[in-house]
Amino acid sequence: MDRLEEILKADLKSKVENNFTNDTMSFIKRKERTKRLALGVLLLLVAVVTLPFIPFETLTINRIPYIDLSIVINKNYVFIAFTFTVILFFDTLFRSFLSTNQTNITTK
Amino acid sequence: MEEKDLIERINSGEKELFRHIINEHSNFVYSICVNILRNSEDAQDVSQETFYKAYKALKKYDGNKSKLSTWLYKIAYNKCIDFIRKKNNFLNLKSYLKQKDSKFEYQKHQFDNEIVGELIAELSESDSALITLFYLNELSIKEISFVIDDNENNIKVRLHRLRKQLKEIANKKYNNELQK
Repeated sequence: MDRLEEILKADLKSKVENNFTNDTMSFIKRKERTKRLALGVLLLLVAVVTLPFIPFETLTINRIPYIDLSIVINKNYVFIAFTFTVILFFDTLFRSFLSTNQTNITTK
Repeated sequence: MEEKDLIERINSGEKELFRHIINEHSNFVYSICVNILRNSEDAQDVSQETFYKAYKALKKYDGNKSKLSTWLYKIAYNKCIDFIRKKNNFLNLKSYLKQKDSKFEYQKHQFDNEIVGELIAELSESDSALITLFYLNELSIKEISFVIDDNENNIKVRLHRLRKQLKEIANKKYNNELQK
């Protein structure tokens, strides 16, 4: 039995191929990229579904102090600013949920 | 670099350092997978999945609860069990395909030592996992209990029974070789 235990201790070990570490790092990067892409698509879908329901209107800011001017922001620009802010918000939120705050895997 | 520092640096953004963890533990993780799954390709895939899961969950790793290696073995063990479950669902389809295609062959892992290969083949997946963790990784009963989520007494009993079983198999098959 002692001999058998010796054999088991010595020979149960198998070795991975030489490029295993590099392959695994590439595998991890690939998976992370896919996850980010899926997240992007999800965000886009949410945006496409929800945005048409929001009634954007042209924004007018009257008599800005000191410069005493009125500014009119076309509803298209309001739409762009709103969409950008919402996407930025949800992107950050999802990243924190999925623990993928690092946008890149650094190569130090 | 110490393990704790390494983990802190990875968690603070130096993700590329994760390769040191892979380098350090890949052979043992792969050995567990190959001894449970008995197929090199599957074991390689599951090992990669194990490291990916570890990479994602590294922030949750608690060094006070277990060693990094033990934590990785637990992930590997669970991944193997998941893989077997999925494969069992797939097996019905596979046997169907086998009937259709007689060239279909399942490549088994070739162990360096034939005796070990044959002994492992005689055991169930969970028993070979137990043997691997105990003999190869030399984990304590407490650590094994953490990895396979079973209580320590059960593990002691199973190990005792397995030793007996292995002895019987070995005596039957390899008495001459083991006497050398």
